[in-house]
Amino acid sequence: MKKIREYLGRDISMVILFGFFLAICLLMIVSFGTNMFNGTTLASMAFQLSEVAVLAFGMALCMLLGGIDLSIVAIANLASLVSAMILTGRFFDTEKIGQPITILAAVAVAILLSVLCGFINGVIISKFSVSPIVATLSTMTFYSGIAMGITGGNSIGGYPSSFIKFGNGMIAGIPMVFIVAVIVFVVLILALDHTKIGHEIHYIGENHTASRFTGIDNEKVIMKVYSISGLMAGIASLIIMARSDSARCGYGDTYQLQVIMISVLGGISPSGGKGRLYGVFIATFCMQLMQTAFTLWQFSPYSKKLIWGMMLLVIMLINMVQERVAQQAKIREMQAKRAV
Amino acid sequence: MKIWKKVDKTQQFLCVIILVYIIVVSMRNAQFLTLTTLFNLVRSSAGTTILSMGVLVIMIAGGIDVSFPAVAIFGGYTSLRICMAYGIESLFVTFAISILIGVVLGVVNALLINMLKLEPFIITLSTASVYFGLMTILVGTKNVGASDLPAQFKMLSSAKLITTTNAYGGTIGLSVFIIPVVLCVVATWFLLNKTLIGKGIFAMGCNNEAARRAGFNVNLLRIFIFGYSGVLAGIMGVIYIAGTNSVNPVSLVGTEMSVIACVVIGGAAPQGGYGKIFGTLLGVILYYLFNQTLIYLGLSASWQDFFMGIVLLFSIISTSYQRRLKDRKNFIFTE
Repeated sequence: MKKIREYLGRDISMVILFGFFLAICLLMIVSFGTNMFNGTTLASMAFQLSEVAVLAFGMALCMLLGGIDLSIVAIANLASLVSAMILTGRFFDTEKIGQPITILAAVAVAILLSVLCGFINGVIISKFSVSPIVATLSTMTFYSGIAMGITGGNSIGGYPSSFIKFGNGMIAGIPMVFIVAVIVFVVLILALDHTKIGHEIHYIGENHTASRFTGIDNEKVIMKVYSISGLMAGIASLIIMARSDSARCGYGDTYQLQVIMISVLGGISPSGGKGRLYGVFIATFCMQLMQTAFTLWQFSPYSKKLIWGMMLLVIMLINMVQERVAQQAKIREMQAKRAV
Repeated sequence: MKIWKKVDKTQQFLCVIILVYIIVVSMRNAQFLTLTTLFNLVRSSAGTTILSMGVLVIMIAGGIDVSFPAVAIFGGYTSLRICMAYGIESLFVTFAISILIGVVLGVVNALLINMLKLEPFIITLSTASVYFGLMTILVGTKNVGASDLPAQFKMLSSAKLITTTNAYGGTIGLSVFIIPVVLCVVATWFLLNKTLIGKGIFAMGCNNEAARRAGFNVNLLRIFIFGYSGVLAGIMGVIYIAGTNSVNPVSLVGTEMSVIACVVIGGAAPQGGYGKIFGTLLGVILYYLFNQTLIYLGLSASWQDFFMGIVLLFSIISTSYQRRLKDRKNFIFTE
């Protein structure tokens, strides 16, 4: 019992998150009955969840570092547009080269381009000391400007059939895109806990001056992390393309707010340093559950927006209250020690 | 040449870019260098200019605000619907309602930032969707066509300050939008340069803690700044509705990034403590030049964001890099 209480006290934001998750599940069971949690609904939720989850991981990494990546959706859109151009044969004849190589080329280009975009973000932030918000804001304008310019706002669709199959196919009842998201999650969580760069991210987020004076090359780490965030955008772009069979430069504009919210809801502190990645994954499930519930309740997109915004504020309020309580407990403890 | 030396490097750079761009465009197309283009530019950039003043003040104080489009449309649209419902035709009341809503929403932003002590960006991002959602629930999202607009909006939309005839004999005129724009710019200049509050805003942006110890009530200042930005957003809301001549309340949201881009291009330091009104105006002019005249160069308007992005990147990199070099000399490490 004591152990449980100790654990609860240590990671209270996780407790809030789990409570939240259970509350939504209960609310949905009460209003729709248990039969809504059948295989088809779960699978369709898993389809929709994958791209947001991957984007949220990228955002969470940047936030752990004490930064933010506003360009993540723009990078995903740019990468998906360019690789859509390759898939539909804008640059070379797809018939002549064959489907497998075309798809391979498209995937490679999407990944390389998005990593490059993320790397540019990292260079601007680390080497030129631009604050992350403004840096990624301007690269967002730039990247979406390129996407807008080359397409003129039109969508590109009609990909090879085997590519679509990846987006809509299932293995043993589990969507393939969801498996990709889980693999990314496992790799990231292992990397954060067991590699040098994983620890360095936490150090820099907690106190960047201190980490610099312990000999960590802050600039290198920042560049790496923003490149990884770009990579996440690239993976998400492939999932989006394969799932929806189209690429458009305005796609997923609402994802920006959602992704930031998932990270904060998942317990990542916006000022950096604190937070666990599994919280982000659970938060993604929460969001998707709510999204499904909103659709079933037939809310308008505007009231959805209102609820997202309210939730973000409430979460930050809860976090603040909890932090203050923890601080006061610490002060009381110190005073008690002094009295002895 | 005295004036040239008075402005900083960013502004000189912007002036050169704008001049070169104007020369290139006017060489390609003779229709560009006419009063019509100028008057169109003034009319279409009026709303952005007013908003950019609010963003500039907030940015100098070291914050950032992305909720102002939501505030502007909340104020403007609500005031429009109230005027339509009660048949009010007074321009004063229209502005008053809009400004009042703007102030309230702005102050709510500031109170939340003071209370939660978090990045203003994240807080205003969430309040932006809250405000917008609230407006759609309380007031609705009904489109209002040009013929249904109350008389004062029609008047504001079509009234001209000066009229002349162009080369083809048609009449062109300078819209009255120039009046609120000039008023807002002058008010902001006065606030920043001639009052104690202005000094407090600069101090706050340079170093929040130092400003507090110097005796400025930082929380109160923040409430004032966001309230002021709310006032400007309220004015802009009415002008926006009059300017587009028919309202789709969903249309304004999403423009916050371009306004912030104008301010940043103008040389305002994103970390706070530095910013110039003239630079911001140049940023707005550049944005609308790209917006309206890329077509003269044979490019579609979809390339606007691309060119803005290039100028924006160049501008932030050069200003931040100079700051970094200066900081490194004093052993200040900002990342």
